[in-house]
Amino acid sequence: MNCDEFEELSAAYVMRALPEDEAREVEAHLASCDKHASLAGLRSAAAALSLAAPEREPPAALKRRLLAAIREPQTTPSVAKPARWLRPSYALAAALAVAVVALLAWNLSLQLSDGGDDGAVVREFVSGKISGRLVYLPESQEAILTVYGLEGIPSSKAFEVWAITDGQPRPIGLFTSRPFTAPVMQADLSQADSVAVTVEPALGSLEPTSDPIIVIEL
Amino acid sequence: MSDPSDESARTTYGDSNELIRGLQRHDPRALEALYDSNARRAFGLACRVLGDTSAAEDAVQEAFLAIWRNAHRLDPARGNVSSLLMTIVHHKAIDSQRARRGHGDPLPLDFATLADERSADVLDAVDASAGRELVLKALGSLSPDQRRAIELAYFDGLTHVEIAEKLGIPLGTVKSRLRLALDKLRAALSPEATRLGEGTEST
Repeated sequence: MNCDEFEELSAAYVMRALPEDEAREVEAHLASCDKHASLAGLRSAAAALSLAAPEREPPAALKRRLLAAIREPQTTPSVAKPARWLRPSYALAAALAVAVVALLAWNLSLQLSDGGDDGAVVREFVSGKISGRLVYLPESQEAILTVYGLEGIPSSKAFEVWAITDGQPRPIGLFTSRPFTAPVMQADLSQADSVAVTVEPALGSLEPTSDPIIVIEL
Repeated sequence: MSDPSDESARTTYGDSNELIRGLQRHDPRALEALYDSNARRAFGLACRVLGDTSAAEDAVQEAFLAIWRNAHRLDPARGNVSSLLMTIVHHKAIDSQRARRGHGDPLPLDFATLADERSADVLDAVDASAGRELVLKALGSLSPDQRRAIELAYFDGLTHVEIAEKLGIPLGTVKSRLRLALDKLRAALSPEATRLGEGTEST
């Protein structure tokens, strides 16, 4: 999609009047082109349309439910998830298909190196085009993940990093930048069996919504 | 734990900067204040899009929760969150409406981009009823065709392909109607235009 095509679709895009495939293309263009600052103004106009609908008083129960929902502690991932999640499947977004299929063949070659002067745990991984390294510092409980060879993702998505213990995934980080170095993650990995990466919505998820594209055994 | 009265929540969080900081501190009273100021508009929009009030309640709840969970991404310097909240309500309502119509998985909400785009706009500068008048007036300045296209897209949740089919017109025509209409709306609601409008009316 070029900039002219983007401009043709930008109004429909901000009003969500695009079919999903076209919306994805628009977002992919936005992720790599910064010439469309005027989009913010269109978005603003679309948000103003919300005022044109007549106001309605919601039921009091809605407010109660909302305030109750925010007081609940964050729930741990459900038991059902890990079973589905650990089973390899081939239902993946086309954009990542090339990178992922190689991984799903479980063709990981791991180089393990533990110890060293500072007790750092290092795991290097290679699978097809994807390679990288996880470094974990047990004393400070910091983990640094560097990944090369990942395909680009739209701005609506991010890579989420999980620590897996007994099949239960726990979110430990979120990154979008290239070349995909996650910021230093604060996490206790002493009990974790592995670290995994999935593609999630940009705001992250409480539990994985897709199959992992990288799994690093600890 | 006793809840503070509605009045005291609003008093504590009148200022939008303070409100955002309250959300970032995870103070429930801040969310309550945000709800008190915006729930009627949010629910009104969701009901218009969905028709079904219980689905509308879900969309509204999810939108407020999205703000709550992503408060750390909000920059207090960028004005209040009403616009962002309405964008999210609309997003959730359209998701729900499309799911009901059997469309595939919806595109997820990009909170970070939306939060970064936030800037002062008509929803910040005026109160709700004045804002509503302004928007209805701006919509009135569109041609009937443009108004219809906006209605089908934004409120009825049709894609531009569906609008073209429904109206029996070429897709290109729909695209340009939506573009022109939204551009006109943006111009009519710009701070310059609304200030000028107020100036003229008062003399």
